[in-house]
Amino acid sequence: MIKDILLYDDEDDDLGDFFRLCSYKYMKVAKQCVAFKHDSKSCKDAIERSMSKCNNSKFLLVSFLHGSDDALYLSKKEVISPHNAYFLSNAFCYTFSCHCGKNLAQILLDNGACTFWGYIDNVSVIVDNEDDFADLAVSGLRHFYCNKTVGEAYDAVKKEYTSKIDALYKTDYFCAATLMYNRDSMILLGDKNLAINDFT
Amino acid sequence: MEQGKRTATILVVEDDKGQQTNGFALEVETGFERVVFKETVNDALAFVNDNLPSKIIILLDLGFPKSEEQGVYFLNELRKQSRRIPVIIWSGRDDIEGAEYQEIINGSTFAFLSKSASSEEIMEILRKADDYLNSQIDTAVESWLESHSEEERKKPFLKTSDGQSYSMEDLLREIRMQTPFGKKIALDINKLTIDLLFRKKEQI
Repeated sequence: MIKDILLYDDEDDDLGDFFRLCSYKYMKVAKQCVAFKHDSKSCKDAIERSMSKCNNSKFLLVSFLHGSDDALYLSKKEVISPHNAYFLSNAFCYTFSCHCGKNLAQILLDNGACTFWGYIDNVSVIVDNEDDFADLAVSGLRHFYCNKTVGEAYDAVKKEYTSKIDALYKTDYFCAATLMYNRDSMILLGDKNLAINDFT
Repeated sequence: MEQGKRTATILVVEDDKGQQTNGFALEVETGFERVVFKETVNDALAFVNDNLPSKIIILLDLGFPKSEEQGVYFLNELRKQSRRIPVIIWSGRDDIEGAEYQEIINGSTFAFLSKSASSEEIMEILRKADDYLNSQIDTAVESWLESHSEEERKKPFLKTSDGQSYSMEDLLREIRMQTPFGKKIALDINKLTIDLLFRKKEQI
């Protein structure tokens, strides 16, 4: 069984519904994970305790949260930052959070994380197309669970973004442009050969 | 909309009330849906601020009574709000030089017209300014917006993962005011267009 921690902010004022949708889609793929959402138990300490139980070998940290250059936020509080980056040693960190690919990604890798998948800039969601955006937000993990390496999964998701853009642009140019921006903002750093077999 | 009329609003910033009733005004009204006269620079700035989501072309006189703000002041203040509105300097003066001339150039003025220009010449410049506006992304976004109901335009449309929410109307305003987010949206749309052309999904 893969050790898997999921963080999602389901009560966020703007993107709560979207983050919840992503987490539901992901839970269908992962079947089993330790989940922290917007409630009193989702404090930083509890997340750190959970990570410390996992990080003696490879584990997966998945987050659907707001992000900044240096941190990820749950319930408007920092939960992952340079201050607790060492807890992510051995982690494959998969995020749908803006900006965190700028600085946080390298800090996590410097602290022993295996791989970082995230976004270097803003990521946006078109409200009427949330389902498409959530599918793409989770798609990398879906490929990963189907035995693709993270590098292969990343290439597959880029292609999926492009297919969706091509399918949408004639009827919804704006949505297609937003998807393209998200696609080009996505980054993968660290070990690209990581595969699910490395976690079991 | 009357058939054949262009949709841009022509804002004439001019303290000479006579211009409102002469042949020039009537001529412009035959070609454009809306012509608005403002006699002071501050009234004109307030109008622009209230109507930024609209397509506006400005005909600006430079000289106003000494006790009031002048045309160059208008240009400077306008550029703080938006750089996408074409301004046509419409002046009877032929002594514009030095710092004042530099301010006008820096204000990205669309064209210069003499007060003695004929109605045909004025209309030609206004049509060119309108064509310029129509080639801009915000006009395309405006057309797209018009295909949606008023209710759809006002509801949340796009949300960003840094906690911002925008309606369709907000997006148009962001583009027209050239905010950082508005510029990003315009760039995204341009990038998609270029990408589709390069991948031969579309042709010019």
